Amino acid sequence: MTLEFWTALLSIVVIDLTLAGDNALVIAMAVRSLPRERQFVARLLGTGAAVALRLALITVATYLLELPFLQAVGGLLLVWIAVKLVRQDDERTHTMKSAPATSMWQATWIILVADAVMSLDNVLAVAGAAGGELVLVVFGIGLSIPLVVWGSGLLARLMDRFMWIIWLGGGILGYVAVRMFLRDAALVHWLGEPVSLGLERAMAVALGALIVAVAWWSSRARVAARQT
Amino acid sequence: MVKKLDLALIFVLAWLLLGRVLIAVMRDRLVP
Repeated sequence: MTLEFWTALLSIVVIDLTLAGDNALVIAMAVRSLPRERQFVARLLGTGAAVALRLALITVATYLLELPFLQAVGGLLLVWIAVKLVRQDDERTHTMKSAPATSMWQATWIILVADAVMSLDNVLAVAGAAGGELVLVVFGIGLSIPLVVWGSGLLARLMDRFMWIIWLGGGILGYVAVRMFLRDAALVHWLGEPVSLGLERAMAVALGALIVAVAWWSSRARVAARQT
Repeated sequence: MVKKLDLALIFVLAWLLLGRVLIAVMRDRLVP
């Protein structure tokens, strides 16, 4: 047990606990249209799926990032999910109709796909800090499980209360999507040179803002439709 | 008075922001 080991352990724990916010956000957005009594089960399922997926991805992270166009496709997929999640009609809280649009399996499936793509963005950070110590990674991720289950519940409740957190969540997904898309090795090769960091950030913020605008506009349209 | 809900809100926003900053820093360091 050297000082180096403890430093690596501490940084892995901090990184995993921080990144768990992404998992919690995706899970909260996916389960919010389920009836409340089923949300908890969906959150457990989603967390389990996300954790298993992240572990699997970390072991093959370096190979994955070299697969041509994987990050580009992942980025596009994330945009689609972001738009789908922010436009999801919240029947449960806003109308008297029962039978929400999303089923438990649909919610789990969305969590799985969104987390797979988000994890691609995250695994490099985790793998880098662990320096090849897989035991550390597994420990850190295990530690983040209760935090994700609890945090996703907290976020889902806050989303019921503050509509704009859903829009913000969609914006974050859009931001990550652009960064992933532009960093795809095959795409960079095709373009000839990588997009500058400044332009990349500007485009990421622009798409994030666009998704927030779509979310705001669609919720406004819904409110207007209900009032007529 | 700060309500429990406000505290929860501040907590999750800080959490998400920290995550994004962390990833940006780590990635820029690892992938120049």
